[in-house]
Amino acid sequence: MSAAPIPFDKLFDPGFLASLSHLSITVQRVSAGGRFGDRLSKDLGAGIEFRDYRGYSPGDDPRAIDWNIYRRLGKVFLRLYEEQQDLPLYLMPDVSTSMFHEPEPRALTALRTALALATISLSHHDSTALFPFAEKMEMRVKSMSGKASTMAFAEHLARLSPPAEAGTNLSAALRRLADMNLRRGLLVVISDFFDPAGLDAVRDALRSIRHRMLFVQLVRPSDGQPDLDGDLRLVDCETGEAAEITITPHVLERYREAYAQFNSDLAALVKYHHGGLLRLDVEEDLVTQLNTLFAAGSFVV
Amino acid sequence: MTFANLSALGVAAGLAGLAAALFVLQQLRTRYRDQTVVTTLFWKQVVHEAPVRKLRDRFRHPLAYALVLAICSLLWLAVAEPQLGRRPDQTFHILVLDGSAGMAAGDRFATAVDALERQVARLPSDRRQVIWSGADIRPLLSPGEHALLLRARLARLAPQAAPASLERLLRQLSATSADGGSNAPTSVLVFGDAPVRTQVLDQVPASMTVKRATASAPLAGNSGITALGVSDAASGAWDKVDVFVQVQGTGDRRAAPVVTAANTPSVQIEVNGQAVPGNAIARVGQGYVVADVPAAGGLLTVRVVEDRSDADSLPLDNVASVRLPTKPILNVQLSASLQAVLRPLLAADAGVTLVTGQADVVIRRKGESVGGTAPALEFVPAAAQSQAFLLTHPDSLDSSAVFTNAVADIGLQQIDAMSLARSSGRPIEVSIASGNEWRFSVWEELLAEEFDFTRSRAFPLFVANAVRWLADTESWHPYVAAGRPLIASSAGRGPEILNAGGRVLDPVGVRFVPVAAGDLKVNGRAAPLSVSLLDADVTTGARDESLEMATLAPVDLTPATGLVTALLILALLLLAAEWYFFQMGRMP
Repeated sequence: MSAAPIPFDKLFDPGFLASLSHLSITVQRVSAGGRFGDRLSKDLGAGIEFRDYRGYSPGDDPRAIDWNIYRRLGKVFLRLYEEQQDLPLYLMPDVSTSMFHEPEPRALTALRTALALATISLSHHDSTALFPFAEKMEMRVKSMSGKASTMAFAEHLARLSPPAEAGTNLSAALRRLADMNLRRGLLVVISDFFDPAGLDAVRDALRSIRHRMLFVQLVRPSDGQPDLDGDLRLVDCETGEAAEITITPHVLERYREAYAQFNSDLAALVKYHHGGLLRLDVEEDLVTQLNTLFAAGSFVV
Repeated sequence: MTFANLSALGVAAGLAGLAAALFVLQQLRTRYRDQTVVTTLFWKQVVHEAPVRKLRDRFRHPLAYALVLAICSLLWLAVAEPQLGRRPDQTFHILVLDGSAGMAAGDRFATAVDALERQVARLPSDRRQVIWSGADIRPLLSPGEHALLLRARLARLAPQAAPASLERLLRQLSATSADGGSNAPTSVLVFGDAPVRTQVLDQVPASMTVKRATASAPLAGNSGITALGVSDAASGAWDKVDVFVQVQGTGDRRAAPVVTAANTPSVQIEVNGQAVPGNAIARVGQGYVVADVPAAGGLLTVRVVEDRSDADSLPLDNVASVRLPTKPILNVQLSASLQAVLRPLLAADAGVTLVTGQADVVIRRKGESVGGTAPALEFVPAAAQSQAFLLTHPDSLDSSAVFTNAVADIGLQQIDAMSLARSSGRPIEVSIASGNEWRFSVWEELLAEEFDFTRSRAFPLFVANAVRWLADTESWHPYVAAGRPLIASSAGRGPEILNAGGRVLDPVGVRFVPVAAGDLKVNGRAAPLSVSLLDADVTTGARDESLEMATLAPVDLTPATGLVTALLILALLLLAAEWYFFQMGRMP
């Protein structure tokens, strides 16, 4: 089953984007080797913020020699400055069928969240990439930067729809991402995480990921409190697999327990990999939720 | 405990069936409703804890089964309508008051009426009906009617000069019960002495009981007329008849009381009010014959007169009448060409006088002008007429009815048509046509020597019958008795009986049966027929022991205590319990 892309107008709400302008994502330390940007990197180099001194070594740039110290001490030291680099942002929105299945699809929230994060990132001159995934991961935008690129990025998002084989295979997507040897950055996975392979497969795949991670889990109240009754043949919208079950209060209780365990396992998994977990209710206003999460104006990963 | 709507066996069978059906249903695989969800990831973890029911799966929900079975059983029992205590009598009671002639003896009728009224008072009005069984059968008190109406109606009733109609009533009740397919118990209680034959009782359905409510005392003494009929005079006089009278009494049915002429104290016989001379009465066998009574359509009446009033219990059988036939001598004119063949034959017929003019019937050959327009027996050449016998009647009459009567009256069906056909070499046919006058045309070749027709024994009878048919001689009745079919002297022409309103009664293809003694109006005749009782069983007081005597007792009307409400409340409580268990997750 292939669903239609989210209409561009629905994604591109100027008011929505404006409300995100004061938000930022802060990474404790950006890895070395990136482009010049707004983030403090581990590299000490040609920045403007003084950081430290060190002894001269042959080959060092003579322009960094602190001649005042040489005059007083007779030794050659170099002034070290913090080099400001960009924060690569790798957005991995889930475009599997389950994201487009319901009347108010989770994909709408997922893509708007992706757009919000991309807007924040681009406004800070960060490199932003778009890797949507379902059964497989796809590279839609390898790198895009600059505030002016926001519109182009939104158009990429608006063209996203479930592929022909639209199951969910997050572990395969993560492995492929790892194989790409991208510069270390912030990986944002936006999904319902209803991967038939389960979290164990994701856990294995995450071992090869070197990026800092932010998992955005899209939920809705009916996930934990399904409004079902009677004798049902439950059909998975992605796999077509059916589960025949007689709904009773006892069964519902067991379902809630299984769902709570899943959420707990997901949170533990993210924590284990020093990542962050954003849980967004698709039936609530996204801006309100983001404002709550970015309470101090920035979200620290 | 009893059940109002079902038998105990039916209730038990129903419960067993419910238990089996519900057991099977519990094991049947449920028909599931498809529901697409975003993931079955978590449901799969639950499925193994709540596996679906499958066809012929193991019995998994004994509590649910027990509850459903209990609820269904309670509802089934409610349908059966159980009652505590003895079930009230549901029998429908038909009370029959015998109004036949036998009930006129002594105080039989009064006794029966008294017993009937007492029994009516004992029965619920919706489960009893009173029927009058006299000359006619009609309801006296319908279900639901107040008993006071019965008293008013009984006041105008008395036994009728009619034989018992109880057997006719029982046949009707049996047929009604069979047609309606009703198995409801019915009690028929007879208040009277009407006899019933065993073969009639054998036809009564099993759900119906027939008993007699009152036992009358035998007749103390009685004598009455049990037979009265006429026949052609043994003397041979065409215009006279002999009258047979039988008078019987109680004790010995075969012994007749003293019967003499009008001057005797016991019996009087008169014709149109004129006493018949005693020397004209002769004892023949077990009855008496009045010979050579003029057959002029008079009314002959016989009366039995007892010396002592206590010697005769029944007044209804003391008088009997019979309408004497009208048998005029017919004037027949014979053409000269047929004198040789037919004159000796006609001369020997006592009912015929040969005349030369003013004839009632003329016999001639075709083309002869003898007799003018009088009804004619014509002999025609076979070449001129394809049929051997051709009947012609006036245009105003119905051909089929005339033909049927003529064939019977003339006796054409008795003629040896095969022999005539062999002799003539042609088929022998009878046909009818309409014309201006009555005429009976016959092949004149039948009069020839080569045919045996004129020498056959049937020929004189054929000529005599043909003459009488052409003269339209009125048929007469040997006897007319209540309860017995009306028999006519002429096979073809039955009388058309008129009711009190003057309309012709159609007996629908069967012989008319007069129901009671009295006058019987006949269409086209000024003098009515006289119907007499003539019932030997009534007169001799014949006893009928075929019916069992009933014990008259009040009907138990105490209603049983119904349990339907309690059962329904209990079922409701169990439904609530099932709902509670379902909400608690203890029941699927």
